[in-house]
Amino acid sequence: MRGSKAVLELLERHGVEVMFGLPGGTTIPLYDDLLDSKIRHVLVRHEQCAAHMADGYARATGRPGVCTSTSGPGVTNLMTGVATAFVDSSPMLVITGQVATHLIGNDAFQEADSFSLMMPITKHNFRVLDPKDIPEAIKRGFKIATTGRYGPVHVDLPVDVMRAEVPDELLEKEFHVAKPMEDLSDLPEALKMLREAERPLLLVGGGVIWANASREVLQLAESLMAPIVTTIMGKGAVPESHPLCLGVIGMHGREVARRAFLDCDVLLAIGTRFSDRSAGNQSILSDKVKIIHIDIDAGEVGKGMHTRVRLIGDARKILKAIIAGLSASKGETPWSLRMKALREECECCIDLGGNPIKPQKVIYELNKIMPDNAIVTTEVGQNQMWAAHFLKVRHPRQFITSGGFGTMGFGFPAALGVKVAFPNRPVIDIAGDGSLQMVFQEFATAVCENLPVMVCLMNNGWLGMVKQWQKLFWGKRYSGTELKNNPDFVKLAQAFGADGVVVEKPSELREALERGLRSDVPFIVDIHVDPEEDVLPMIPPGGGKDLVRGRCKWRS
Amino acid sequence: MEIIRIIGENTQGIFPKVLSELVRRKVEVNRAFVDRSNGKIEMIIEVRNSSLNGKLLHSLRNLQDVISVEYLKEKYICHLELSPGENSQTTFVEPFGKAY
Repeated sequence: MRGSKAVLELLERHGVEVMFGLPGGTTIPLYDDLLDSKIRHVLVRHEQCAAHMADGYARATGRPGVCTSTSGPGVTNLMTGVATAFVDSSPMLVITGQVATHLIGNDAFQEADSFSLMMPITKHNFRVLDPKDIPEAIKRGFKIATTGRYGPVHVDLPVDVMRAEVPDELLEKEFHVAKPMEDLSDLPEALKMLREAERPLLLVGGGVIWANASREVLQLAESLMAPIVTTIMGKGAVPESHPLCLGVIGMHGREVARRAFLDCDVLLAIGTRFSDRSAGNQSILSDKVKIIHIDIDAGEVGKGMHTRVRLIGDARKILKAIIAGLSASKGETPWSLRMKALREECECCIDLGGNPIKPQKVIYELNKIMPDNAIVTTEVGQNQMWAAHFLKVRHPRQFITSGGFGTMGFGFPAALGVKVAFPNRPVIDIAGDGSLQMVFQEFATAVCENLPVMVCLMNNGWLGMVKQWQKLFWGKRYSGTELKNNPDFVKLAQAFGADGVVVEKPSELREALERGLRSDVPFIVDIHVDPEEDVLPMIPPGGGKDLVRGRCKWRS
Repeated sequence: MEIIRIIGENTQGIFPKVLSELVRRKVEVNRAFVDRSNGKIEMIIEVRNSSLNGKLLHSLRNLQDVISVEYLKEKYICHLELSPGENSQTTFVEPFGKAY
């Protein structure tokens, strides 16, 4: 069969139900065969958003997302989305067109060295120069994306390769992918440390969600009576209403989480790479803190922290082994009681009724009205940090954000990808006006594809996070951060066939959000929030023990 | 300077992928020699590895299709050190049992 048909046939065999993309000259064969395929195609308005949608789909479902673009500018547009997925270990299959093989290297029209460009931002990539290699690229590509530490895999397909014939029998061939490294030799030492720990703490990262190890984390925490702190990528791994969950740690994390981090004697870190924005500054930790690090990526274990014990492998499997090894459960300890008490005392004193609307008020209202099965995505900046700090997430994969790469414009297209995966669940994008304007054109996609997500826009007229840094650390010298000519977002959404409402008073907020959740078209709630509000508390860049606290205080 | 030996499956792009990984981790690459045979690729790379040491081995080992990574002792590369202008086929003899 034709190469492009073989690609689609193999995607279907892997259970692919949707592909996000935008066609071009080099992908016409693929799009021609798509007419006869069961795979749904979601036509985006910018390739970057195709990658974000595939990424959102993958994060919500745990299955690889598929996106496609043409060669040259299609590929370079796609790259920000691919890098976003790579940094957050999200599995994707990225299929790009390429100029015909005889033109490669000749500076042909819309030619870019996609293979080299994608190399540092993908887990693996294939440049298919012979149609016989298509089955290997697709089959191995899927396996690589979902083996070990997940990540995007890129397949570059020259147009003549897609038009050439692939013998049908080659589609049946199987291809081997090596198993990831596993090393549990330090397990007895880990058990000994956990048994002897007086102040154990679990630091939970995004790897726990990818490994579907949330139940085991909770079981172990309850067995040890160990508090849990999460990175932003790990948010939702355990219900944030659980008495042992202290919330998100990091630059804008909860102070009680940081206090536990500083005071623990044994830190069990699971599926986290100790990012500089979460828990990377070990200099503030006492030398006496013993760190046990569990990760599926041997390259991450011990990379950033001086770990005593390293366990390499699947988090769920290792946690089960630890739970079985510990056997007996502890009851309440002075440490667990102290942390529970601190949890209650950690409170931000915010006037939620004040005008202009405080951004935190928006999150508080969402906490009240958000259905249990809702999925929330965020953009990047202050909106993301308010959501990370204040939103009470109830289950894994409910909170989707660009944690590592920090990509503005991620949330809205990711929300559309989530909505494609779960059309019957409410999907909310918590956005800022800076981020949303990078991807607003995707309202066209949302309307065309009948994807009624709610965009909860915290509109403060600024690139708020940069402004906050300029305010706190650069003498209030605001440069390039005021968005002076914001459009009327509701009218703009309506121009695409969507709908929305402007909110300027706290009393209008609840009704507007409820209307957005009920809407059967994409809906924007344009909330004019206090432009002077900062995300606090904040650990200053470079770390250290001194917090910028603002009004955040301990209750007693 | 350190010498790293990497053996992997001889798949497309593995050598540039290794170089890309080294560069992104601020590891300076001075020279590299590559041998491909029997479906395998063997890379000998001279690097200044900054402070990564053992962690670098883990990072390289974790690349797709890499089978093993090790530091080589300096005594094994004396020929390379003494005659950097020579053809690479004459530089390595031991301990690999064959010439590179």
